[in-house]
Amino acid sequence: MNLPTHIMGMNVRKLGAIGGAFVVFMVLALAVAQTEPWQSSGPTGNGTQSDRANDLDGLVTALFDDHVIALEVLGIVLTAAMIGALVIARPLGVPDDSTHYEAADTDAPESDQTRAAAVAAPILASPHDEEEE
Amino acid sequence: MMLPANYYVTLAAALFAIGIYGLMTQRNALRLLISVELVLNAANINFVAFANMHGDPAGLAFTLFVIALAAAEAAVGLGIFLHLYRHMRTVDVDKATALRW
Repeated sequence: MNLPTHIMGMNVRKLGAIGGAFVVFMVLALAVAQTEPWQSSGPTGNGTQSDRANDLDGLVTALFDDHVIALEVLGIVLTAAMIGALVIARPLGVPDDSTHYEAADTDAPESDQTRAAAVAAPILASPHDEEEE
Repeated sequence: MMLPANYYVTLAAALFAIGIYGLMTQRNALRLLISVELVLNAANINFVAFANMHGDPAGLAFTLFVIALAAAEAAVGLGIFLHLYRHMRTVDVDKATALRW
């Protein structure tokens, strides 16, 4: 079944998205309009409700006393996300150490690394190579 | 004097609807991320409005949690889309069909 892609010159997908977003907004707006205005109950003994919410000591208590576990878990999640983003976004074709640190000066004295590599080469040679020789 | 919270909830609903529209229509990955941020910030506005209405700073603490999680999600999402662009030379999410069955 072939569904139409355009209706009245507009993309069906966009029309559906506009309709869906409009329905979501109207449901929420009507739900809010049906209720009484949500006003704070006015000044209390310790000041207005807004003052109590914006109190820095209260916010610090909420973060580091009431919800400290959530805060610590959030820190771990953030760290893991940053490490994951770094791993995902690293540049392609990063050379390995053997090509990145090639010696440019041929007159340089033999380094300990090249001597060790020369000693290890026959030890590391595979048995198949010896059989072929 | 603080406005009634109805206005803030209506604003959050409008932002949420705009974010939903962006998520449903946009094919550009960066625009999708921005739409997700809109949805999350709509929830943040609700948290702050009700925290001020009830005088409870826990709502503000949850707002900070949501902001931090949104930052982490944006970082990971940007890394994924960067990787996608390097392989496919596009950020069109409709072109990324390798996992589609």
